[in-house]
Amino acid sequence: MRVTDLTKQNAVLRNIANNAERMQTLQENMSSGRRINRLSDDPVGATQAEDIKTQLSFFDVVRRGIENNFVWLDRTESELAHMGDLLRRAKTLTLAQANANADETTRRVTAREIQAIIDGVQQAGNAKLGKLYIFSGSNTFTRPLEPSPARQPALLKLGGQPLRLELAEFEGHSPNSYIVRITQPGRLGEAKYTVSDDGGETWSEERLLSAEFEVFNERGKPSDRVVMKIREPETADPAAAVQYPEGLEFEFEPNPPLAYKGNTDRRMITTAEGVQMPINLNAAQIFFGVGREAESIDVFSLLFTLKRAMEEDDPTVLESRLDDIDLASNQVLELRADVGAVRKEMEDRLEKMGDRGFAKTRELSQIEDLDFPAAVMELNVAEVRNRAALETGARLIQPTLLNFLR
Amino acid sequence: MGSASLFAQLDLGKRSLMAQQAGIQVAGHNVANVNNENYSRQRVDLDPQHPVKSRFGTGVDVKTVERMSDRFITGRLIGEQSRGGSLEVRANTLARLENLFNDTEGLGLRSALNNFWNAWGDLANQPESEIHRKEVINSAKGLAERFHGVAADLKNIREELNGRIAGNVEKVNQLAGQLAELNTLLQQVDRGGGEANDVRDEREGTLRELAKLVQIEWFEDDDRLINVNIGNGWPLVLGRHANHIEASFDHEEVGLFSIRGIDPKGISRDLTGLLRTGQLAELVDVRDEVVVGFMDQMDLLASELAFRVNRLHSTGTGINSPLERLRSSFALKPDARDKPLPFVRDGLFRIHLVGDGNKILETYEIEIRAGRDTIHDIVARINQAVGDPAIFQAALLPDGSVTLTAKNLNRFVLGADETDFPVVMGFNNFFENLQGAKDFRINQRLEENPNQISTGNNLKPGENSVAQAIHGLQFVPTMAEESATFDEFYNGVVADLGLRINRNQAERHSQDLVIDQFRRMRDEFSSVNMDEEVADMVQFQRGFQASAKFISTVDEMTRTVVSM
Repeated sequence: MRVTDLTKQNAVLRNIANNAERMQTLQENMSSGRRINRLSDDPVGATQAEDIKTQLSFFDVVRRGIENNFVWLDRTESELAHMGDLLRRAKTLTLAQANANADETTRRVTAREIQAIIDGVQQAGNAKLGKLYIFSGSNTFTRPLEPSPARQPALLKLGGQPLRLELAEFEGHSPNSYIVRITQPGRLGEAKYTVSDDGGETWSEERLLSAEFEVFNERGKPSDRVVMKIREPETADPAAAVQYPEGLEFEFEPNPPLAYKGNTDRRMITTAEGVQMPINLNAAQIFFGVGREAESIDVFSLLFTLKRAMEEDDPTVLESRLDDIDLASNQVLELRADVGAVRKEMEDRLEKMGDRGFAKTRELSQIEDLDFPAAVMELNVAEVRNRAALETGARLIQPTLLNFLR
Repeated sequence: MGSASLFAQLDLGKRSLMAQQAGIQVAGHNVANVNNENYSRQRVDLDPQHPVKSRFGTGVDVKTVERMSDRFITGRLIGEQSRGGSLEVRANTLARLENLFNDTEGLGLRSALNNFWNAWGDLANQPESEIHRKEVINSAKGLAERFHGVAADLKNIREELNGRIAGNVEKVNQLAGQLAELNTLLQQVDRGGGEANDVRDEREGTLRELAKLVQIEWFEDDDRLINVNIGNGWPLVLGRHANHIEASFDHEEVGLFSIRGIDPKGISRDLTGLLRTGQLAELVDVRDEVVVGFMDQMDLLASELAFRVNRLHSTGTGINSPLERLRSSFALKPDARDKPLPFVRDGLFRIHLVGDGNKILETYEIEIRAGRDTIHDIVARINQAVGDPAIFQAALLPDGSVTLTAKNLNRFVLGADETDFPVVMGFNNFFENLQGAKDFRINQRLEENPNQISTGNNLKPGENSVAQAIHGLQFVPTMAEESATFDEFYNGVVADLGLRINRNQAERHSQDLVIDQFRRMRDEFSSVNMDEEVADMVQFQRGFQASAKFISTVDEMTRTVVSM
């Protein structure tokens, strides 16, 4: 084979260039510490690395969400603890005042302390974290507990059909619903009525209808002192007085002393991909037992009843309500346990995610980072090759026949 | 008898001297051109003079100076240049694109997308937060910036390629002219009885340069002139005459060149798609197919992202969402207003009338029938559902946009929607782009009033279903007919680019080897070996010395005879 000068030159130059290219790549990798400095170094690896980075940043979002909401949970728990303390105090006071040793004076004084307890519980229920109410469901800008008006117009029904008539109103707070039904027709003072406080199952004795009377069923729940007031239209003619037909019903809607203005939405935070956990309680659950499987109780109605009983020096009521105070305490304490469980769960998730994040970071390093020892060895080999190429190249292209002719 | 006369012998000597001289001259010419890549070495072709009417030969004659060039290898070398040129152009462009999509430093599109999802995730975990809303705006702006950057860079690359097309067209014309000139020169030298070896070398060199730019079919005609065709047999060089091509502005896209061949009669032919391989052909392909392909992918990504986010956002509420007036981002052209509104679905959408304290006073349900209702129908139906223009009114403005206005100190928000009407017309959209990546932008009203960014529904500030859903879009398959997530789609584009680069590198490497091999074959046959030439020179020098000695011997013999 005939080898010419050009052939030799081109071959030597090309080999030197190849070596230089290899060494440059090595230098780039070693100075950046990464195996992948541009897409073409490893296209699939590059996209895998990007995916891992995305996952790691998702973990960060979840972690931040959980950590930021620990404050919410801790606050919830401390408010519930406070409420539990207040209810315990209420029980102690009630026990003391139900005792025969107490008298009108002590009961009246204690009634004020009960009011202070009511205020404390209400305040706890309206707790705010920053500018958000924590017990209001998703209506976090709305205060959950507001006093409800004492008066409500009575709903009239005849034969099941509602009547649009403004005839009577109720005054007072009660968690019960009452039905006042005319049993014997007639005018005021003639007609007779009964009361039901359980939706029509049990009825009270018949009583004479008057313009104002206390609504309660002596065969049913204790009275909440709700009063019904009838206002007949003004007329001078006695013959035009209202005739109350039999079967006419006046309905009283539950009207707890403090009403819940929030909603029952859960506050959800992300704890994993596609997984969300609720972290909130709302005032309806705490104070009215909404959603509770066991028997529920209206805490405020109970406290107001206790206060009124003390003001009116009525120890029997106090005695009868002691069990209800226990019920209220349990209602609060069980929710407190739930909150504790949620917090523990979130701590576990956080830890698990930390482990996963660590594993992913290791995976990322394996894809992206340069294996330094291997690279150093490769660099040494490349250096040797480079030297050899340069040396042999020099030796190849230099001597010609001219060196040897005389 | 037959021995030659003394004078005949002198003549022999003289011719011998000249022949040796010629040998040295050719050797010298070869040596001078040892580093000339296009040079084919030349050899004196010495012919012994045969005896005529005698037993003794009469010396040597220079028959010709032969050019050592193998036709087949020449042809292959020229042919392989075209593919080499293509691969080189492609490598350069792909390298530019690679820089564009490089995200190893976290400054690329993928990182911006991550930041966007993360901002929504943080907002979903604290939906009342004003700070997180600002972060969402920030990250969205970063994303818009990246989209703009990519779109602009792709456009620039395209324009650059366009410019290079013009430059290459110039070069082709120049080389064609050169070829025609060389043909003319060759003919002159031939007719003058000379050897046009060096002209042929130059012609070959020009052909190789030309072939790199555009794939050629070339052949030598009866007059030994070279003709060159490009494209589908369009004649670029016809013997001593060269046609020219031009980069003309009559491409269907404004500002881009198409390539036309102009023949002597002035008839022009569109060669743009016919050039097959070579730098010029590859520039056109990369400009019109490869770069455009990436632009389309980016537009697709931007459009689908905007639509999906908008669809979730438009019917949500934030912490200060109720508005008095809302105008659609998009306007209908006059001829579109009487046709059924496209892209909407059958179902209901709702408008909530909002009073003091963000309380919902009333909800209006409006039905839409896809494929039947025009914008006029829908506007009328909204007003019908409300029933009282003093409370709330919808109107179609002269420019084709739609306004919703609550009057009398009322305000409103949009409610649950099955129809996509809000997102199609652009009511309360988060992103407001029509063209994809280049005009990707945030709704300005939201930028100025971040508290109106929707996180939940029905004015409940702690409700985060909208923000959760937008954050969750990260994991929903939305692209490629709902088979790939946004990330997977982008990965596909980017990985494809990387793999293409690698493939091109491999092809280039292999093409280099092929060209190399033919080069070596050509060099083996045609290029100069210094040692050979030096040896030849020594040889011819000896021959010259010997011939001179012969002449002086004959001269002495002549003098002997003369002094007899």
